[in-house]
Amino acid sequence: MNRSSLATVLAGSTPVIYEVLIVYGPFAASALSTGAFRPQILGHTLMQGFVVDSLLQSLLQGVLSSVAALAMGYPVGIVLGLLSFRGRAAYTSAILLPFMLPSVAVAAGFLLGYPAHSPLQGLSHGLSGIIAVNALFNSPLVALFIAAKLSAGSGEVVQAARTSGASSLEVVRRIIIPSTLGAAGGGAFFAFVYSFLGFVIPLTIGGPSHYTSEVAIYTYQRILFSPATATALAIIQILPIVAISLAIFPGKTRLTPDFRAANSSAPWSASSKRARLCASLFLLAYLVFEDYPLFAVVISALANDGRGFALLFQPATAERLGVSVDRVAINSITFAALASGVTFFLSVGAVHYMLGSARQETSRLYNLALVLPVAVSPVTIGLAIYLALSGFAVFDLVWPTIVFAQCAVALPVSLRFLSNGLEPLPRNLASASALLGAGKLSTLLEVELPSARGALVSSVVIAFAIGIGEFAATSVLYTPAYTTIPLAIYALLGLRLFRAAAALAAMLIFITVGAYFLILRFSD
Amino acid sequence: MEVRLQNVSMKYGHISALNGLNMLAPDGKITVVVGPSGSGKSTLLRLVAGLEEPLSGKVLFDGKPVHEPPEKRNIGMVFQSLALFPNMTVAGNIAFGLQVRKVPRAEIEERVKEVAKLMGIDSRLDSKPGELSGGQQQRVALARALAPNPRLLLLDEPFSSLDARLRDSLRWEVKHIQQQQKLTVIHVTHDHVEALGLADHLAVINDGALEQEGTARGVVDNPANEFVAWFMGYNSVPYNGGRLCFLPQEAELTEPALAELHAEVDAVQNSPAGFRARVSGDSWWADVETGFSPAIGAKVGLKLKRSKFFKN
Repeated sequence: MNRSSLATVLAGSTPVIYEVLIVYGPFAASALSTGAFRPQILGHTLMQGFVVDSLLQSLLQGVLSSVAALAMGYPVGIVLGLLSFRGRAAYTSAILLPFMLPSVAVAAGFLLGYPAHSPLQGLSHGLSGIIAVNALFNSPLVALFIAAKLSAGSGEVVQAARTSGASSLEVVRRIIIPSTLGAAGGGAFFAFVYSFLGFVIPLTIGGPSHYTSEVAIYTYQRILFSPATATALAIIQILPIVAISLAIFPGKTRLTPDFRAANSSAPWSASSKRARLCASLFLLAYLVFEDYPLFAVVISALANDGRGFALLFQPATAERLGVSVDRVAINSITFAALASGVTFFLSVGAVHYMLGSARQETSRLYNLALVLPVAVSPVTIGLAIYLALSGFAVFDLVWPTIVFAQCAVALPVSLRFLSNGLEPLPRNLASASALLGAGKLSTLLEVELPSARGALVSSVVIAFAIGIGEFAATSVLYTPAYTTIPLAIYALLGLRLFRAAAALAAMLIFITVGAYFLILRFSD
Repeated sequence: MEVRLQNVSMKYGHISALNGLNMLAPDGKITVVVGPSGSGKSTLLRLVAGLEEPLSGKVLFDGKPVHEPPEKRNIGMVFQSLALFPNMTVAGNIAFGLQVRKVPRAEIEERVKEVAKLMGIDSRLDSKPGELSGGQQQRVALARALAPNPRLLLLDEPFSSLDARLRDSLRWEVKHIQQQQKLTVIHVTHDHVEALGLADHLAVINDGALEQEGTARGVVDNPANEFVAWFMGYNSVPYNGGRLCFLPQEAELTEPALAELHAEVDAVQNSPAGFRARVSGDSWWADVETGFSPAIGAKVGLKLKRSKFFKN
């Protein structure tokens, strides 16, 4: 390997090195220091009733949520992939919006939109509520997997089947279902992982009988002060996810929505007015389900001349929260901005590597390395950072650990956005620039970064959006002075100050929606 | 089966794809529709296939308007992207149209083997499309379209991604099958050489409207207007308030004093017949076939054996 290739590989390695330093390394260090790897501790942990119950809940919620996400998202994906209609791109963006929103804001939306004693209260309480919220989050992801698969060249295949004499039913049975099974499996897998690792939703919607293993890890660490059991449970939880990830995820499946594919023109017009009407009604019902909780939050915050906001900024609220709302907002914005700054730095290295790397196998392995941390839950990341770094003087400061944790949580998704954004760019940009006489730095500054501008912006903005909504890892690391918006929303919901929680959630929704539109703008 | 398009218009949003198109595809002949990119060729095929409904006008099969969905029209279509079913083997792809018509299994097997043999892919019946070369995939797409014995075959620029030799070989195969089976074929292309080689009946379209149709030889020998002449490979030079059009092989380089058109040689290429020279005059250029290689920069005259004049 020559010096130039070495520099490219090193630049590309920066995100992986970060993940090793912030996720894997601290996790291994904390497991070693607490002895959590030892079979006796693992066995002892597995014997505890709370652990068994929480693991069973995780499994149950994972399976049921992925089934629900598949049941809702699959037909939506087929309709989006095959039908062209005016406003299709806007519709796709609208149903994807909740996927980008912080879980705690959506959970607040369910509590406010489907309150107790209302006919649909099952959607905001107990196991059915958890499944509903998880389906809201994950079904658009499934839909997008399917729509992207169908939009990417399947249009003419469907037409070929029709001109060969196949009826619509036969087209669905023999062409569409077989060709979308892989995408459906990918979507269902991610729905399972996200639901299996649920934290804030079981906390806010489910109640103690529905606590997942994530909640159990948090409880052992922050409430029962038993880091060895918390770490052992994190190991037990992570192993099946990593095993399934390695078996199912070959580096090809998309982790993130592909806005380009979803927004590309649909290949097949509906054949009859009745079909169009049915599809329209179905899409409308789905849109209402997806976006109603967000409207419930905003309406609740603004009702009665903005009473929610008035309540939020009352001194009494700050007193009960233990921190002022201004401080909470400043904390959130600062941490998310710093986390996205770190992401930017790491993304620049990744851009240089991805645009310079010609070998497909290397890129596939690289993508796998970047996406693997998604299997490590945010609570585990927080726990690992807390246990491994809190002894060092510099990390006695709470805020850097929160920033590192938020960045680590956002990084796999950010880098997938980056990699998706770079896909259309020619792979030999760097070679072309070098052949024209440009040095490495000129190539980076004048060719690679400007070409990757849209992808970089998307990557950094998604890091900001995830950081500002991050709940789980931050909840392990924070002290009251470093409370963030999501933690404050959760606290307000616990204090039964629903209107104030709605106001804060509405602020979070507005910020995230702004970020989402920036991503859409730069994904074109 | 005869196919006729009567005053057909079609729009995609605000963009007009076909504007009152009238065209005929005679029974048992190959009709080649030729025109530049964006002229409406593929839209025309999609309307005939039933994949789109015209905004106005009629598509007639044997004189009767058709409104059936594509699966009821008994047509075969080969798409530009080929659109092979990736989840099925070659045999599965070829059998598909027969299976959905509920043809008995033994008959399907026999027909699949027969068509695969005809297309020279009988040794690859168990392969998946992804395991085949471009030419083999093309043959599978053609076999799939032919297997159910369609009354009409639609070809949407199916050879455009192939190398020249393979393209030529497949053109012969299509011609052979069509002549053997007396099949009605509508073939769309932007390549006038391919059009001339294949067509019994040729239709030139531009901006969604028919410019000219007739026998291939008739259209080439007597283009109706300057666009048709230009598209069929004629040179077009300004002359006496109009355009003088001539084919490269129907001009001769001479001494300037012996010809009315005067030009200078810009470049010379080899050609199957000898050489092809690009010459330019005052704000025009033309290609001319010659038996010798003229010097670059030489002043020449153009003597035309045959030409068409179109007034501006």
